[in-house]
Amino acid sequence: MDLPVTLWMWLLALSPVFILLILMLRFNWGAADAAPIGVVTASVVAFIFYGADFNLLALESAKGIWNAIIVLFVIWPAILLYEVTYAAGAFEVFKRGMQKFTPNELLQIMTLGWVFTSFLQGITGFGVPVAVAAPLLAGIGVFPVWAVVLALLGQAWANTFGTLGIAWQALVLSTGIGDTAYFIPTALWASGFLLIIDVFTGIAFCYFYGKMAAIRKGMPAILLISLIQGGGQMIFSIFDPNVSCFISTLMALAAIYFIGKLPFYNTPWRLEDSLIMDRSAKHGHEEVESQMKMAEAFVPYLVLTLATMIFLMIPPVTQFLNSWQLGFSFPETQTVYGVINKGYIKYSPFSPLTHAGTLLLISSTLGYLYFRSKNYIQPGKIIGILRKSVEKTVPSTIAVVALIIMSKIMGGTGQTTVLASGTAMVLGKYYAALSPGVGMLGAFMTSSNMSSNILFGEFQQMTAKLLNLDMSLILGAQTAGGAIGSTIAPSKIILGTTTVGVLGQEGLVLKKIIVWAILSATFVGAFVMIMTILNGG
Amino acid sequence: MKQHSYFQTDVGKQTISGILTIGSLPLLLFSREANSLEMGGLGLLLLFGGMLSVPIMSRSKRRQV
Repeated sequence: MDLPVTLWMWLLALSPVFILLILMLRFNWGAADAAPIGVVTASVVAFIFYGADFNLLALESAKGIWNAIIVLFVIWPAILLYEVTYAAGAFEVFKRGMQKFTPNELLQIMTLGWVFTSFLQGITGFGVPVAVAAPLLAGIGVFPVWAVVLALLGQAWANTFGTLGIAWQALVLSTGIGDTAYFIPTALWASGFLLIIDVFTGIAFCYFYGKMAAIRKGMPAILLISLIQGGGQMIFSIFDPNVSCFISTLMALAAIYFIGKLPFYNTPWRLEDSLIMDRSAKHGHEEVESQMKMAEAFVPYLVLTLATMIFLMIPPVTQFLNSWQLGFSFPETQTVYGVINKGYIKYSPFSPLTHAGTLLLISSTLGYLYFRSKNYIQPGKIIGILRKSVEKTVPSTIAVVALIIMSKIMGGTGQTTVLASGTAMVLGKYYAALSPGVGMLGAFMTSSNMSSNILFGEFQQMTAKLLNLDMSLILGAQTAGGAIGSTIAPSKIILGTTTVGVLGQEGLVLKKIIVWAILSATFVGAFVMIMTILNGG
Repeated sequence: MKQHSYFQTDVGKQTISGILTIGSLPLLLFSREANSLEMGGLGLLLLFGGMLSVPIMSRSKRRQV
């Protein structure tokens, strides 16, 4: 590859991301409006300056559409699940149930937005935690935009080892550290950084809820939860990284019940002037008080958890269900600068029977049948549920498709590589401080910690070798940065804004969350830099 | 009150944009196999047309308001 890494090429590569961010943050455009402009910019830059031909653009776009269809297959049933739950009046039951569980409003929010979201990330991922938790938070009275912010924050730390370690496996495979002495140190650095991010998450939840007063009230819970979640993950990652997140989040889910019973948390407590709480509106179902019990309201979510465990955690079942895969073949393409996109016999195979979307579809269908059998949903309401689902899902489609195509074109023409390697060249040893930033950029571009590790794992490894940096430390920072970046990934934000009905306000969500993301990445980066200096770098 | 058909509503128009955008996939995929520049060109036209129609519709609606 003889791609010139110059300031001019770097600025050109930055332009699609820059335009996307400016349109969303400065002009408050929704992602559906801003992303197509980003695609056009990336395509023009690719065609004129990065030596991409017509064929390459067409094939990378096709890959993008295919990947987007797989993502949309999560969004569509996630909305259906929300509409079924809403129509049954279950959100009002959640609210009442949460008050019985603990009368402390802050702990209620932390339970749904952090502990439950982390648990879902531990087993499902693919944006499901955001799509499921955001409406639950809105249901207990959190403003919809804030519900999305909290759900995004809550799942972040669990991204690397969550979804049964899929992002971790991607890092191990792309760097080849599986059978080397780097394996355990990298796992420990990664889980150590994620523990810090987990603590930051708890602090952010409290800060957003009620600044210092809430931090004081929430601190014991923050320490206990993050110790169980992040600390547990760190210990289990030594033995089996693939289930370390699942086990620790399951333990936290059990522990939160006892935390709620502690004298410090079992008395009524809430801040009336909390900026994230909607004190005026009536939430949930508007009809007479439902006879539904809390456990019944959770039926679709229990089905989701059980189905995920059966479909994804029993190897023979998973192997059998995974045997049916759909995918298209793609030929190898190359730019005039020698950036090669390898050919595939079956590109990004879609396994419909084990896909998160199928699990959501099963949960929403069985949930509907249960609610209908108990008469919590009136006959004939199914048409309204489906109509509302379509109205919510259609507007997010273009945004998801465009964002993924943009990342494919940028990746396939070398623009993403120029962005990362240009930065590394200029910074030298100080690159260590920016290593989580590169992981974050990857997750922002691709909306996935796993894809960020595939995109930049090997690059970070090569840069660490070239600059004589601690490879395990840098790779740990890469995947931690990817986890942080999952909070600002536009496709994930859309999942949340779609499910709570504030589509188009992605810029507002991004504005609220980006400071946390930058601060977290800066903290991890500073830590990596200090360790590099201490190691004699 | 006059009833609008689904495709006259905002969601309906976005549905058309989505169908055009995602509908370009077979054209983009098979243009290479068929070695047809026209098919690929039509695919990209549908793709960009479908995508860009969304911000164009939003801007023109905002201007009317």
